[in-house]
Amino acid sequence: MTAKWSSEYVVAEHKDLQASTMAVDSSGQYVLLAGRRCLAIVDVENPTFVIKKFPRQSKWEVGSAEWNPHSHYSHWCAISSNQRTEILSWNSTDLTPLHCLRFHTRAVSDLNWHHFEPTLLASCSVDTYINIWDLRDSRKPSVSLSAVVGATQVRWNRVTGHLLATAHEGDVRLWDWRKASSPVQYIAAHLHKIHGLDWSANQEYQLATSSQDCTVKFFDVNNPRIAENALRTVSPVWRARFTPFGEGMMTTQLRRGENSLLLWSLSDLSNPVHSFLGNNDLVLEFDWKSPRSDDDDYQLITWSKDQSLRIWRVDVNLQKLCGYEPDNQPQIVYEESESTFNVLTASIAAAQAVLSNTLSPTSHRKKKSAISNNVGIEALSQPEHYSFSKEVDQIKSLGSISNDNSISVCDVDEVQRCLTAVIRTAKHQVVLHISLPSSYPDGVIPNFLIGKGTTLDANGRCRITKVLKQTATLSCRKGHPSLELVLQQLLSTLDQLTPADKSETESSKIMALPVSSSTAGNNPFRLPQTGLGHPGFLQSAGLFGTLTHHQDHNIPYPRSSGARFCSTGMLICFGRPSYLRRVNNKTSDTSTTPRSLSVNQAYSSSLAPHNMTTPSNTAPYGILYPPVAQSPTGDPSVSISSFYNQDRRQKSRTSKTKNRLPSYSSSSDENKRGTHEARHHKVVGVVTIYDASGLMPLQLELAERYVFSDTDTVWMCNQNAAIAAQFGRKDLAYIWSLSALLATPTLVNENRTQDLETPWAQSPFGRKLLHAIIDHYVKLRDIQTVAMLCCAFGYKCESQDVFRRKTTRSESGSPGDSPYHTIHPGDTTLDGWNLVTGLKQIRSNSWSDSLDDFRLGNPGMNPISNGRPLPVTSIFLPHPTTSASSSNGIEGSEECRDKDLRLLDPKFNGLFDNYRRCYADILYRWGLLEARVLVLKYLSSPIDPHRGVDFVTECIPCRTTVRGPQCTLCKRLLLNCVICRVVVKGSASFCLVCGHGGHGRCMAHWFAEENECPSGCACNCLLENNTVFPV
Amino acid sequence: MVSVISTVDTGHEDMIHDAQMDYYGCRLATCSSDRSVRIYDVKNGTQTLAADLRGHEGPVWQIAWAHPKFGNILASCSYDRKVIIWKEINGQWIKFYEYANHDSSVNSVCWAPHDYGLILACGSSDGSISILSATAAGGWEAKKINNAHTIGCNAVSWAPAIGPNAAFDSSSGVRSTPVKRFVSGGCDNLVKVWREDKEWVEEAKLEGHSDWVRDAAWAPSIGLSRTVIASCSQDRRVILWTNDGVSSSWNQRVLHTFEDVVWHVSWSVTGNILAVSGGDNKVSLWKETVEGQWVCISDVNRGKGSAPGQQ
Repeated sequence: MTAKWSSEYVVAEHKDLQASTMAVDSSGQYVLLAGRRCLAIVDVENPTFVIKKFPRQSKWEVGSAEWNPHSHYSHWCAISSNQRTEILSWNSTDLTPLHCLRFHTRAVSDLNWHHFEPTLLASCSVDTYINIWDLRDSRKPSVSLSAVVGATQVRWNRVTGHLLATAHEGDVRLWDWRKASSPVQYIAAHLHKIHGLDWSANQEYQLATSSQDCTVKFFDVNNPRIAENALRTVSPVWRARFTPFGEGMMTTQLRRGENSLLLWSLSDLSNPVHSFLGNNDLVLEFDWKSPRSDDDDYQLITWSKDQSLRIWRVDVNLQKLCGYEPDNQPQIVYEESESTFNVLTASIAAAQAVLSNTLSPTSHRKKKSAISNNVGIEALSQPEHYSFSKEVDQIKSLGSISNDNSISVCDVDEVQRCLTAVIRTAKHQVVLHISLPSSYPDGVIPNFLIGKGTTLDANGRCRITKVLKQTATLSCRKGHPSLELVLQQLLSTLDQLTPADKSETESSKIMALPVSSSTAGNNPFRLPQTGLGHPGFLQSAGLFGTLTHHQDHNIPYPRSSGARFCSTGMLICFGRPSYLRRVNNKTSDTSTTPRSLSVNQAYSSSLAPHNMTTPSNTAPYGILYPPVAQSPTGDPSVSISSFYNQDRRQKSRTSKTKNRLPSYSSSSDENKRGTHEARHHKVVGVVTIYDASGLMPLQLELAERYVFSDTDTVWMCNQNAAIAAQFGRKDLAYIWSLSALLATPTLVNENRTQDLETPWAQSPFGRKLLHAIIDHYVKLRDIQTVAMLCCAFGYKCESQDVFRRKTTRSESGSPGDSPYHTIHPGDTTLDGWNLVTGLKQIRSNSWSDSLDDFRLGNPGMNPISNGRPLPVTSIFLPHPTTSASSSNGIEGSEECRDKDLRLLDPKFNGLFDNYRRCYADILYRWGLLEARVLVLKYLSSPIDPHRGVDFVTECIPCRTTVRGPQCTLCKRLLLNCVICRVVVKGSASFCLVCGHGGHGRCMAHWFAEENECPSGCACNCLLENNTVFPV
Repeated sequence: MVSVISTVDTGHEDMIHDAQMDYYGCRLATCSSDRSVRIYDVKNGTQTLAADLRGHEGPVWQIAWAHPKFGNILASCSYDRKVIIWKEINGQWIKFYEYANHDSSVNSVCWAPHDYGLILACGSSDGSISILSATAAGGWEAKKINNAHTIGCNAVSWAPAIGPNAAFDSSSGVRSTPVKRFVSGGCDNLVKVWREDKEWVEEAKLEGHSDWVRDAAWAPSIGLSRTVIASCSQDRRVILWTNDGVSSSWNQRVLHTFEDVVWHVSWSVTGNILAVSGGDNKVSLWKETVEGQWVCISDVNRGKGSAPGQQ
């Protein structure tokens, strides 16, 4: 695998120590070996010699150990043992305990000293807390961060002091310890447990995670949806740490027999550049000893499970493999390689800005801005007329151009203005990362970057690169967006190329420097992308795997069961069939369902490794979403249901009891087939509708039968009491009878005449009792009873002021008027054509600006309300005395008194109206439209007036508009019939298009035979009016 | 207490992600990973397929019925980044409007209270929320709240139009226009309350969950000044947020910590029962007692087919 390997030059065995961990101090002088039975300090110069051995009397192993990295405190050493963390001090002869930190309730899993504050130590534990200790006060942690899941690793950022990362199973959380309430970032890094975390020493936002899933992933924590890069090995990775020199990574494995340490260069993660062989057992811990002088080398110190300490020398040649430059400029590697990289950029200035930013790590450090979403920063500098999303849509619309060629767009980032386009032709495939500089498209071309997965040789790349650049330059010179054109051009160029030689592609290491479009500066440098990894990787989890993966990272895991209350009393439930039980996921110990969709992809791809066929070229979502978007007849192993396995026992039981479930043949080896079958038998889609109205405080039967009376409250209450009793609601029957007593007219009327006494409403059994009853039912959420009570007692009290406005109206109102006010407003305006009403309006201009404002239906005057039940289920009853009380002359003081007389406090009218409205809405859902209208009639303020078509006429001499047929000023009658030339009063009909019309009868007569307007204006009135208000 | 009215075999070919009855409880709409939306007429325990709506190119996550006063209108959202509004015209369901201005999966749709007109809110994994309003001219107008939730928005739910404060001053008789509000939940673990103030502004940010918020539901109002929002999360908890209608502060109260992630919360029409469902395939109903305590009135393993309430 690796061309070179080397052996240790010093081996020291310490079988007696039984140490579980090791730590090298910052001076590189001492090694601490810690185990359950003892702690030992070993001299690095003479590793066989144990300087001092301190026996421990503990039944707990030492979990982790770390020396303080600060030179002044380098004698401090922290070790964790079960729930405790001990701080020891080494004075070159003796190890004395300084502090004992107890706060965790479960075993401490990891420790890490702060890189800038010597007294700060972070510890994490499976008790889900991460504690940050300031050793100046060791009694309790200065900050305690609460994660829901136990943490296995904790690491401070090496560039910024306030940032730390913790690993929780497969996730990473980032914390800013100044804001301890919640993590600032989540990274769903791996599907399997994360064993190790490490921050880059010089790039603030670069984090590496090593995991059980045999990969090391590199993240830009500002953009955590996707790993920037990944390193793949054949065995689970225990630790992965950045090398102190160059741009390298050291990993140790967690598989028996894989005892070597591998050194990788970050510029090429396909193969390790070096292996350190020699350990006979797993490497538990490794650390570096820095060179003492310039001509000295780094030394690698390892502690293995076989209780041997080994020291390797890492000479300059090895360091150079990791990109180390002797003149101590680690970043130079980027500059140097820029020319060889496949970067095409016209916005060199932008690139340089990024480069210069990276070259001075201090500038990074100054930017203490925590991880923030840098939205809008760039939007400001964009040319205003340009819309990124529009252009993306354009490209998307390109879609599949022909059967062979297709363009699919993914990974669109509006903020960074970058996207990835996958262009497929019959012979080739090109993955193109495009990022748009801030000043694009005004004379600046996009940055193109050919990504991995491209099946082109170096020649081909050069060629399309040239084409891309030329096309974009031409287009951008005019300030036009160029992407669409560029991609089309690319397709035609690809057709001319010869088929690519795949092996050639693999051998040519394509390095690419993604010059980020972000000039904002807080986007750190990314890792260089590298060529292809292991052969076969492309097929299994390569291009498509990663594409789908990061796409779906933020899409929540689909609901496969749910319950919803609908309509009034229905509960709709759906769920997974019981034979689908969740796969016992070995990959993660957490028992909860995953949160993001990407898990599913990876899961299904791990079910069927190396089985991923190339998705069809035509469907863009086919690649983005293979598992569920695939037709159900496709591979059964990829679907959401693949996360749920079939539980056989359950299955057979269910098939016995439930007829609707298909019976499965009970052969034992068809787990997979079962899922497959399930989907064909279509039992995934069973929805159960429950009637949950029994749980609701509402009863449809009551609503259907309850009666209303706006005058005789007692009658209404008694009737409703009887109805409630009929349906076994004794409680409600009781309340209604009580209400009947409350409303006894003798009591109410008595008070009305005898002014000196306290009004009945003010007595404890009046308003107070009623309000108490209503409040009680509000608490029960029985809106039905509440609203009905509000109606029973509401109208009567408020009828007064309504009456005052009504009397005039009712006198002249046509006797057949409907009591339903909802029908009313439209009628009123039409009524305006009636001369009588029109005259009345002139007379009584004062009572209202708008006719819509007043409500119709004075029941005392209503001829149909003489006790005869309406065709609906609710009834109006007249009260013979009401009209008497509607005298016009109620004085102000009396109005005040009137308020006291009411059983419902007018102060809360708004609230009571809300109750009525709410009940009206429920009645509407039940389809009890009449009852609804009756309830709405009790509203103290009118519901929104119905605004229909309004007809006004204009008096040209007076220049006024009136609603009636007569001008209010000159009394002229304004409308003449177009046919008989006589003034129009009463029924009129006009064309809405040409405006001509006249008497309803005349017009009806005319249009019985004609289609066109009688005025001769050539308007096809009958036809035109149909289109004015399309239904 | 609770009885099965009917069992509908929807015939979907893959997992169902949402099912909803219309306003009257006569029609059932379901959506599924098989990219289709199906509508059933449910009557007297029997169901007939009324429509099979195809148009999405990915799994359909959620659906929402509009108020019947606008006609029979159904909105659906999908992984394919689209929101489709379907309308029944002369018995035929047609694609009334298609909105494709999101950059990632659209996870939630919710119609505003009918009093405001035909308005739809959509939450997407691209972090933004779109507000689509039908215009008088028959077109649609879209407003977008960009970056409403970093990483992604998972749920939207409108506040009822019957506001916590009486919507008008009873003495003057003049009604103040009610304020439009909705709540959203996202991958930033936050629940946010939005208010329309010419533009949409973030009125409150409710911090309490420690993982992705999967659903948020504004409780129906019966006219009281107290407002309640329920939210559920990947952290397996359901939190009830209450606001007294006077101050701007929200009190949080954890209803319960469940065994598995909680996907969905749904209020009964009077707002005193909450249905909670999640990854463990179970439904539980929670009811508020007169004393203001929340008690579980059922805990049902739906897979076993027993009905809620029949302990």
